[in-house]
Amino acid sequence: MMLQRACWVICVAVTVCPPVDSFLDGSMSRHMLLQMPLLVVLGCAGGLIWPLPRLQFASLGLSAIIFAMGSMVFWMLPRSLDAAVTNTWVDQVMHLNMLTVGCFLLLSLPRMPFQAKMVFGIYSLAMALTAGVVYMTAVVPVCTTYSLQHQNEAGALLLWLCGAIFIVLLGRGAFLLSAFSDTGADESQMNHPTLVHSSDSR
Amino acid sequence: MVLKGKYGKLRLLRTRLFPPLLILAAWLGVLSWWTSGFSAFTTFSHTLKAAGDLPRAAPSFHIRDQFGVLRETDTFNGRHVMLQFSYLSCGDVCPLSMADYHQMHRALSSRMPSELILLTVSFDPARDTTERLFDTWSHHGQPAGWYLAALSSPLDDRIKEDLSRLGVWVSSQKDSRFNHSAQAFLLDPEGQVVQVFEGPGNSDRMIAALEQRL
Repeated sequence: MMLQRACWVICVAVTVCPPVDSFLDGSMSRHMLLQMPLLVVLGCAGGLIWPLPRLQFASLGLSAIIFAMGSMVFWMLPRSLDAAVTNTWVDQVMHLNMLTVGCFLLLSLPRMPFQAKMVFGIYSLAMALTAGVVYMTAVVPVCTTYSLQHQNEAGALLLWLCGAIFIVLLGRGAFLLSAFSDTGADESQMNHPTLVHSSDSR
Repeated sequence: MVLKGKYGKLRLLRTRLFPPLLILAAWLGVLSWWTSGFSAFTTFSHTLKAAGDLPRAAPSFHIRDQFGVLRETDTFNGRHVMLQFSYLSCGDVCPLSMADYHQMHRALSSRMPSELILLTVSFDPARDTTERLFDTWSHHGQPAGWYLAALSSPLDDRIKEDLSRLGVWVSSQKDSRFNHSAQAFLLDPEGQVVQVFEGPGNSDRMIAALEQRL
């Protein structure tokens, strides 16, 4: 466990310090589509390594989801992107925020009801799609730190990524539906699949 | 029992709903503060918002026009001025803004220069020499009343401060490019900013606004 924790600390330190941080901040697509998800994943990994209490969805779990959604909205704003690239302190706040989001998602997502997971997933995809369309179609730069070309490129990549995630989610939904129909699960289990998988979630 | 049940539900609601609502309210507060009341989502729009309400006095800039004449922008007071900042080496937004100005000149040439001046000021005095400005002006047909100028000195903190007071954000990049606001500012004969037009592709709106004012 000590080795895992040391590896985690090293991974985080490498990601948030120059020259890796400067490289990731160097283009809009690397900043939005590589660094931010990477930090969220590292946050999740941190939540796995350090034993933390799993949050009940109805109280603190819901707070964690709202915190994650708010963070995603905030750091997708062009002004926040600019501030994170031009100001070291804001950049460090962003790193910390993304790590926290990853940790919170790990603590709360497994206990979420299926419907709430769907709402969270659809909301996140819709937000990312909107941002992708805006960044790809804008004829003027919306960020001061990146060129129009970087912006259009990031928008296009964001759309591709959203498309891929949508297909994966659709496939997973179809798989779950077929699994339910094959096992003859009743309607109440369909509406509350977490009851079926409750033993899987930690 | 009934009362206990009611209080129990209330307590349950309070403990379950209060933390998420608090987080939601906190985020809304942060977002509202950061975007000046959900109205300025980019650095450009935030700079414009921070410059203040319209009408407001426009700062004067030292410029060198396409004839090599050094002047202050407030020497154009007494006429309406459509002011925009750009630079000739720009590969994306500035050519579109120039096309807007070309359209405006075609539509309003009879009112220029007696009532209206179109003024394009370059951030890049080193590369946008008098010759280059004159050539570009000639390329557009040497329109009377359209001044193509450059700042008389390179961008420094004082000029950036004046630009901020106007509502323009600019930053010079490592590759000699400038990231900058693309708004056009309409100044009245007293030198007050009375209207701001967002981005390129707005020539019809600008022409309509000018026809109304002239």
